Amino acid sequence: MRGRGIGRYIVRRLLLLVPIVLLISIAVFLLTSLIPGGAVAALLNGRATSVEQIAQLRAKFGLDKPLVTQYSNWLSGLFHGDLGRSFRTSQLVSQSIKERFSLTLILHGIGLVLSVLIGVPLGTWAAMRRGTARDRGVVGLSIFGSSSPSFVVALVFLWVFAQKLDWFPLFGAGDGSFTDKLYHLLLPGVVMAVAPMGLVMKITRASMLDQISQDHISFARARGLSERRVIIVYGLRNALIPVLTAAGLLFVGLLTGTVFVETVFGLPGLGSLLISAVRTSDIPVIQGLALIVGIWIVLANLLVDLAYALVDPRVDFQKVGK
Amino acid sequence: MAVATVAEARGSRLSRGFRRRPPFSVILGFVFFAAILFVFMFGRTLAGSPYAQSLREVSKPPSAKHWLGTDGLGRDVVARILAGTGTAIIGPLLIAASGLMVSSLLGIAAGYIGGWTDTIIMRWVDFMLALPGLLVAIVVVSVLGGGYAMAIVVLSVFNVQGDIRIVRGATLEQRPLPYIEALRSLGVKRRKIMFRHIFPNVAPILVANFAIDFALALVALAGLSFLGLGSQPDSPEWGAMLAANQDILFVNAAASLAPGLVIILLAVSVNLVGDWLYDRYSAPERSGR
Amino acid sequence: MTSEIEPIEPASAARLAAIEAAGAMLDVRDLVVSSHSPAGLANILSGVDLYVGRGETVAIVGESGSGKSMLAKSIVGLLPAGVDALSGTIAFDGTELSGLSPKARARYRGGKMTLLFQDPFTSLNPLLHCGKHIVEGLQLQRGKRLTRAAGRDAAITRLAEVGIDDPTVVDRYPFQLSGGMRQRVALAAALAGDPELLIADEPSTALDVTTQAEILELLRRTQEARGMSLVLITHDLRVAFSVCDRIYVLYAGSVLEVGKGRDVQTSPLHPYTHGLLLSEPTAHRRQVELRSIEGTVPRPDSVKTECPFATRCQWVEPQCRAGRPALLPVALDRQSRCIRLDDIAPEMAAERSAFTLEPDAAPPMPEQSVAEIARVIDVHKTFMVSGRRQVRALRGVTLAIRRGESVGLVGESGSGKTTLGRCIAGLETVTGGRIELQDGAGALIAPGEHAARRLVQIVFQDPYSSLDPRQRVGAALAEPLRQMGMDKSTARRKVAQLLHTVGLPEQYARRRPDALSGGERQRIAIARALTVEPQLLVCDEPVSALDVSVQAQILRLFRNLRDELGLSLLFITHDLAVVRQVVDTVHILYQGEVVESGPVDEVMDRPQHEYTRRLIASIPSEEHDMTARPGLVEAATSVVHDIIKDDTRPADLEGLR
Repeated sequence: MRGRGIGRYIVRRLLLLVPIVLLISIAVFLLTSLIPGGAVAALLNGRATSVEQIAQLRAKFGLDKPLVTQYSNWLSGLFHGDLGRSFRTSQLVSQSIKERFSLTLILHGIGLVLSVLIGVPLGTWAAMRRGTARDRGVVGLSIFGSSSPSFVVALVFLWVFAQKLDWFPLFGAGDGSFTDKLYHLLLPGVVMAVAPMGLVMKITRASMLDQISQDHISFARARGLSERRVIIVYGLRNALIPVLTAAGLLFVGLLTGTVFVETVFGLPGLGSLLISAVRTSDIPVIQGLALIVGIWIVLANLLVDLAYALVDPRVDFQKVGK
Repeated sequence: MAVATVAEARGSRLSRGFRRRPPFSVILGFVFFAAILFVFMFGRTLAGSPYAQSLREVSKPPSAKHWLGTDGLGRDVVARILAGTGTAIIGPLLIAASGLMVSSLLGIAAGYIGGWTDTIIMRWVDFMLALPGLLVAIVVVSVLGGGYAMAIVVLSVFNVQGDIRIVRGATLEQRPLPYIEALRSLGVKRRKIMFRHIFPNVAPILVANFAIDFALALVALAGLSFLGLGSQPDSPEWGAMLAANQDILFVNAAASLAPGLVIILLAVSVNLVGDWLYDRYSAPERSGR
Repeated sequence: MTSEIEPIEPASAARLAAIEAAGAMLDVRDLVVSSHSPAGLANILSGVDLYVGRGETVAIVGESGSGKSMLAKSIVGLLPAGVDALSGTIAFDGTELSGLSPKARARYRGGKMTLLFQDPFTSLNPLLHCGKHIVEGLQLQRGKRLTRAAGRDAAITRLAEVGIDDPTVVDRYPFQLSGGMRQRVALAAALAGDPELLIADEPSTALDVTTQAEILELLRRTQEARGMSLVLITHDLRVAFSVCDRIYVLYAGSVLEVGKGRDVQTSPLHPYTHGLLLSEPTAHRRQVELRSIEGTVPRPDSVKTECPFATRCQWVEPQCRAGRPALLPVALDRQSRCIRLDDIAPEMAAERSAFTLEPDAAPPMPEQSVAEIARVIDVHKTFMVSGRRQVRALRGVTLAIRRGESVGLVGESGSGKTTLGRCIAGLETVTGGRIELQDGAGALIAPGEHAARRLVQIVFQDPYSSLDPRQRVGAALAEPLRQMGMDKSTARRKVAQLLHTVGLPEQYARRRPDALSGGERQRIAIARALTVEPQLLVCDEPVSALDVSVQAQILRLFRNLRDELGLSLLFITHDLAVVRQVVDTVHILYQGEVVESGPVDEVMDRPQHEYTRRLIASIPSEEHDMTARPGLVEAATSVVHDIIKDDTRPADLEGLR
């Protein structure tokens, strides 16, 4: 019954990508048209130029054509996998993205894995011992974690672990080999995990507390089931459902965290690319990154919904639609 | 039906809940916030001028004269932190307040009136919530030129949606309750029901949410300034200070870590209060069977 | 499914002898349970004794606030956080449980004793299919794991034991089953460990009337077949009488009376039990006067130093308040905590016989010529669920309500009775047919129109969400009045008048809802409905959320309103006893259709339709109902005389505090 629905559901959701891509790209185009003085002014950055040079630049980047034409040109380029060239470096946007993608992905991976691996057990642990010192400790930790902006944590960790203790390298992404890359990315990855971890702890704890007070847990105990089974099968499995729902928030939070963390640690990832693009009004790059982010979010949400439906037998694919 | 068992117990618990004292940590948080507020209102120049440069005392570590040392231009860090309370309070306050006002109106309307009003509002809300807020804010703010005021406007726009969803949820909880249906049946006007009955019952969540919004806005605003997109890099705004003093991290760490810590402490304080309020008012009433 | 429930003889001599010979299963002495919170220590149970023999069925009867659920939980060792058993002993099969560590205590659960919960909609794990619930209990006892196939077979067998013959249920999830099925699965899961003691906490209360009877029957059969001890916790005396050997009456944390079922039923030896029996409306006949117990259940702490029932007892004397009475044997196998029993027993007996012998009240039959106030003509109502599925709540209902008439709509869940009531009140629209309301001048009005407001009003089931928690009573009542244009002072006077009409003092206008009890809140809700002076009052299960002792108060109020104000009532309920007392004409609804209609006495005494018969047969132990057997009353009176003559019972008070 459920198997038959999944395929169609996935296809339906993936089809959503089309309108979203269109929407995002149009929005970014419109937005960039609002840049005071036009994109060219930003490019020139205040340098004095003659009118001819301005006209030349505009023609070079195709900025003299009407907005709609620029957009349709971009779209047709998209179909060929060509996202244009950076205003700043003249490098192919698709190339820049390809180079930096894996680093950002690894950062996200570390952040996600750590936050779940530490957050869920701690949250459960705290819920089982409500009101005790350990519970209060965990709650405090989660509040600190989720209130700490990633750039502050990044600086603190940088100072403590990299400089004072010299455990980790300070900047950069290492020299190519996978283990070295990982070594360089470990500290930033931990920093990325701090805020999501706080959130995961908090939600897990709240959800577990909610579960514990429910009848089916008491009934399970009344039937003599082992405490371990009660907590895991009756408590945690049910409690994870809201945590999964919050996973969607996690993906978004990680995206924002990437930007700050890569900046502080000087990592050549997508986040730092965005910052430099934004600072120099490098429209094609902004365009391309916006696209990536849009696709990323749709895929992430789809994964979360699938996981959700897999865990909870009450979800029926025929009915679920967005 | 023994709904009576649950019902009778529920009645007494409700009256007990309102008199519980907050835990110590929440009180601490409130005190800290009050202290920052106090500094904002009266003591911003308590430690001297935040702008006075001194080229002889550039990047000095903490000492008796400068408790947190000096920054790259010889300015006293403590003075700048105190001065920064202004941007730390006003911006988030405005953002949270606008969120409160807009969400009460739109959230209650969407939840109570339903139909097309609800559909339109919620489509917009869902769309905006799906976006990575701060990321988009970064792009938008930089494109539109940056600056503290611009940052506040953009962040307000992105903050509102979450609030609307929460208020709408709370409204939906109230709407099917018998007392609302009775009011409808008795002919009480819709507007009166929404604002004289639903709003007061939803207000506690609004207050809790205000605090949480404040903390989020504080962090977001500081983040934008850190990237150079909010306040001017030269102003004593905590986020900007963090970025500016990053270079001297290994000479005088306090210059950048201290503003960071203050951000965290303020955010934590407000979050503590907000969370406590939220738990108190939105926890479902369960009887002590 | 049979429509007749076979009555068993709960207390036959042979059975009693067997129980006595078997010895004790559970022996609880002097159990004190309290909850501690920042506000302080609050007593829940104040020294309770309970004895259950092997193979015996014992009922614990109590209303809300009696502490019955906590008693069950303390026996199995599952008291919630913040609640502790402070003193007393709990002996199971000779072993003392109260000193054991939580781990050791846990070993008794499942295999020796178990607890069946009230709400089958929340007691099963929504993520596990039904078979798993049973298999995990089976594996506990065997120690080794069962193979998938073996487990499935075992589960199917166990389900058959509880009356589920369809093997596919094993693979289904709880949310796919009805309430009755879920409770059966829960029972099978509870029995998976083959416990010797089963405690069932209100096992049928959350279910429909017909299903209730089935589940109780199932419990009885299972108990007999396995020879296990059964403790049944209920608020319904009739249920207790029909299923159990002995009864404990629990009130505000104390046991007030103990005795064999039939004895307690024929001659209760405590004013509380007496009051309960008299105030439970009967479905047998219409009573002239609806008796109730005035007041509400107190907190155990507030009655620590006196008789717990003193605040509501009609025979209370200063000596009852001088100290806490002890629970003493007053006859063979009977105990009571009333120190005035000798004096008042004859009065109690006299009240009972007067009650039994009083003639039936004849429901007033409005003349045929009286105008109709509401007409329901071939009404259909279909709901859309989750955007796709259609639910047909009403499938062509036709009926009429005349002025001054009290009409009952009886049905179980899914019958459409609430939907119809809401359509008439204008809270829902119909998808087919029409509803016509007619005012005094003969003009036709549709529900939902502005003018309909002064014609029809509604009272809801749950008193706890019927009032705005932030609004004072006076403001809540004045609001509709001011809406109509009344000025402040007139409104204030009218509010006082309304409070008086519903039997509450004027001062209540200043109170907030959270300071009021359920019964009081319901009165306010009724008063609010009356502000616009409607001519038809739709009452949607108005008393089912209230305690038994309070229900009769509200029913009496409805009767008065009808008699004094000439109100028409549309009374929606699942409870046939309530219907009998308040209604003239009754319509029985089943799955959206009216299956039988007529004067209430006719329909209840001589039901025609199969479903009506089933409904009536589901009422517990009707043939044991005191009011139907005058002969029993004589027997009871003689027992009472014996008690008075017996001087060997010492009367002392449990110390003076």
